[in-house]
Amino acid sequence: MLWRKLLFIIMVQFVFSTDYSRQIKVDFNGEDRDLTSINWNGTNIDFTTVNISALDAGYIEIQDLVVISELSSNSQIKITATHGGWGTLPTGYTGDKTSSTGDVQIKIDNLASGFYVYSGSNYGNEYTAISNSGSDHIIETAGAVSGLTADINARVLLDWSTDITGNYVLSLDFTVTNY
Amino acid sequence: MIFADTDADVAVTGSGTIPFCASWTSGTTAPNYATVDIDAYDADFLEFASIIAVTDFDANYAFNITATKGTWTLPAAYDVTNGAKKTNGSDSDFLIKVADITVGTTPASSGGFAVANSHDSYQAATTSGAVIASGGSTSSGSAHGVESAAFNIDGKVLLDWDTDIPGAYALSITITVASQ
Repeated sequence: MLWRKLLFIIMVQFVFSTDYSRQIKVDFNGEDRDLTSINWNGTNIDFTTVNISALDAGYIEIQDLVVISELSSNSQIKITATHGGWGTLPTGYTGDKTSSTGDVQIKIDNLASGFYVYSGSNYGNEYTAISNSGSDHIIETAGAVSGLTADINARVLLDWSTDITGNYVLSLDFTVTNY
Repeated sequence: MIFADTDADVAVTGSGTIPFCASWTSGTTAPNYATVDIDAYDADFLEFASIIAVTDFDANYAFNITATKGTWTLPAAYDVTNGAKKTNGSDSDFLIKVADITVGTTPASSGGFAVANSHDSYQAATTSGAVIASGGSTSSGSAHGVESAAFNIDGKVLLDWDTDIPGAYALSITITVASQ
């Protein structure tokens, strides 16, 4: 009987000597979320620079309208250009510029390896119009990338007979999203 | 729910006032008074075609073209009292007209380049200037300029057997374009 009493005492001591209040269990599971880091800067357009040469050429050209100095992403991404419309036009204006779209073209150059002109688009070859649809994809990657660079150039079309003197305001938006 | 994380978008704004712009490609042929002859005196005038030729004219808003005469250089012995030509240019002995007009293109195919103040026929040039042509529109809802217009300015000098003595004559004509 003595050995049974000793065994009972040992079991009780073991139970009360373990401090579970000092333990925590963490289970890690799930997938990494899509992360994209991009450093890019835009240059505003000054329409006071429009002159005879620009009207003769039919446009003003803004090289490096947006410069992407570093894009890193752990997944495939695309960059979209969206025409925000002409917020202000001169009184009496009758040309192709409207409150929603018109007269803006985009071209991409200096693409770092890993960047691609969006499949099926012409933005890498020639100045191509953008719309207000939010679906004008201009640049894409094939997958995870690091430290990519590119330049986005723009033309604002001009016409002697319709682009009359006066105040103009235009907005353009560039977004990066995951596929 | 876990969302993707992406840095901010970039927005670019274009703003500013497009200035009035006008452009022309022009040439001049100075009237040569050495060509004055008996027939010219008998006719009381001599014409000079295309003393100013504008082969391409563009403007991005409604415009006026003004012609302004300078002052006469006259022979030293010119009868300044009885002669029609005045050294201060206050005479009417040099006339101009606008000819060979190409109206140019406009958004609604109207309101192109047009003569003004009857300058489709000869009118005396003045030192104060006169609008000889205009175009484009300032109308609300239909304002516009003109592209690819063209025109010539012809000149005509009046002559008089009695007072227009031999000697050196000179006169300048200046045209300017301005926004309406």
